[in-house]
Amino acid sequence: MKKTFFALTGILWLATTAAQAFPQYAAQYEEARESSGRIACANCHLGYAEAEAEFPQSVMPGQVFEVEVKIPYDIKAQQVVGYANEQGEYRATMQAGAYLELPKGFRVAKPEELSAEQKAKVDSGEWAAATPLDELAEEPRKEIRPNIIVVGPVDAETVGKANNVLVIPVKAPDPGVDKNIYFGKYSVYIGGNRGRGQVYPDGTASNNAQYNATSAGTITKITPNVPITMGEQSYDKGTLITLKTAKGDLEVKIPPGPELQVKVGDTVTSGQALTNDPNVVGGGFGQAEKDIVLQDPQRVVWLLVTLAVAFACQVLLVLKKKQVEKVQAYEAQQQGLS
Amino acid sequence: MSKVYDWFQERLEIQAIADDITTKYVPPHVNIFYCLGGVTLICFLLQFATGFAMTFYYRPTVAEAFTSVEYIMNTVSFGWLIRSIHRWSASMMVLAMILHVFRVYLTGGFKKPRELTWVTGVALAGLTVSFGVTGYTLPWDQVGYWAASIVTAVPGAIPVVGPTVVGLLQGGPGIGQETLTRFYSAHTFLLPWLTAVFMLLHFLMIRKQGISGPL
Repeated sequence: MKKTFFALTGILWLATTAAQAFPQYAAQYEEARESSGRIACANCHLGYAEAEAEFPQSVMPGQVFEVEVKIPYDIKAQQVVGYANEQGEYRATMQAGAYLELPKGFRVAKPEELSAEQKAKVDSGEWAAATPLDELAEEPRKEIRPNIIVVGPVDAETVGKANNVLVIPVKAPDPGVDKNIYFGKYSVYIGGNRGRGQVYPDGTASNNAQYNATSAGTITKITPNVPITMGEQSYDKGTLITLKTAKGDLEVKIPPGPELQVKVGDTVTSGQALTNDPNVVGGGFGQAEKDIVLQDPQRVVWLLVTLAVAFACQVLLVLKKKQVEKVQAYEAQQQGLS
Repeated sequence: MSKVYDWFQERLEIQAIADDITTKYVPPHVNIFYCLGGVTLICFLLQFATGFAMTFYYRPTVAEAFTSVEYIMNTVSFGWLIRSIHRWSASMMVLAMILHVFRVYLTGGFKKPRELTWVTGVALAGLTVSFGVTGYTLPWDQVGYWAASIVTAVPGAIPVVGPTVVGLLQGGPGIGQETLTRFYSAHTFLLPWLTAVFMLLHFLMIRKQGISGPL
């Protein structure tokens, strides 16, 4: 069951990889969340956009609960993509993805652990499959950490149906079963992304970025519709800008996507923008941090015991005082004081 | 009596202290509500002892505070007990203190000649709450972080000096390591000393003037 499930997700995955969204890139990092707290996604998705999560403040051992990662964006917005569609346009709607780092012992709930209602949502694809990040690493990892999870890429249509919420069913561990797990409060780290990044992990800019003049000079020639290669990416219809600088001619490659803002004859300074910033307003990555409590149900019993003991103490104290008062009254009577 | 007693009696007249303690007359109008001040003191002593024990393991850095608390709770022998007592006793101390204030107010215990006892009591109440606020932040979890961020921003509403006070509390332009360091220092050094001073004044005045009269 599980294998078919993953095989299916794998196929879905391959089918969607062409559509540019790459949690695999995050899997290249051994620790996707740096010690500074930054999640690796932010290295390439330079735009900032909000992401938040909702889940119970406390959960019981073994409980299956839902983590909702909210990724607000306009699902109809068209972004620049790395391949041309049938009309020859480098445009498509934005996809979304989520990163979820749960405390140790927590993991994605297995299909058989879900309620019928939840299972239906997973089977219908309303809840996109959540995968441990380690499983996406190119070189198989020694250890797959089931508590570090990614979802996506999820297409805009699915995201829109779920009102911009990616739901991950999670199962809490039971400290009674696993001796390495303790009750208590733990941190949960959440990342939410929508749209494409601006750079690839190898440092090459994507075509969803603004392009600047690499040196000061004058633009002598603009050649459109030429195939260009940037890093590992090739584009059929790129643009070459020839820049006449003090040190001779220089060619700047502009991939399809960003729109040119300069023309032949323009004089540019070093770092001046040659194109607009094609990144969709509202596209980008955001992260959040929240606490979750793994609650011991036994604590209620202990509270009742404590209250009972405290109550008994007080009753005994009052009884003892009554007794002492009786003795005092008797002694006073004996001495003829009253 | 024993030689040890004689040795001390000869030098320090300890009999006088013993007499003073054992001959205190408790007037008949005193009831269980007069215990609340003492309950607050007991809570403080518990806080002092358990808090001291936790300084062995707690690390006041933004990177390690939360994990060191986790370590106290899960790994240190009886660490969970010590920290839980500290946590619960903190709430109990505030509760007992508030009830004590009610008792003093309702029995008129603050009236002449005991005004100064009341004033030192108010100072102690302020210190207790400060203990609460600083202690709440020390685990550096989400509630602690946001509590610090809200509380330290409150004085910003004061005209003229507001921003300076906020800067003093936060130790920088925002909440961070400096804030945690300041809160830790206040929680474990400044506030205990101030509390000791005001408690001494509070108790000396009570000893001097005796318990307040009946209604």
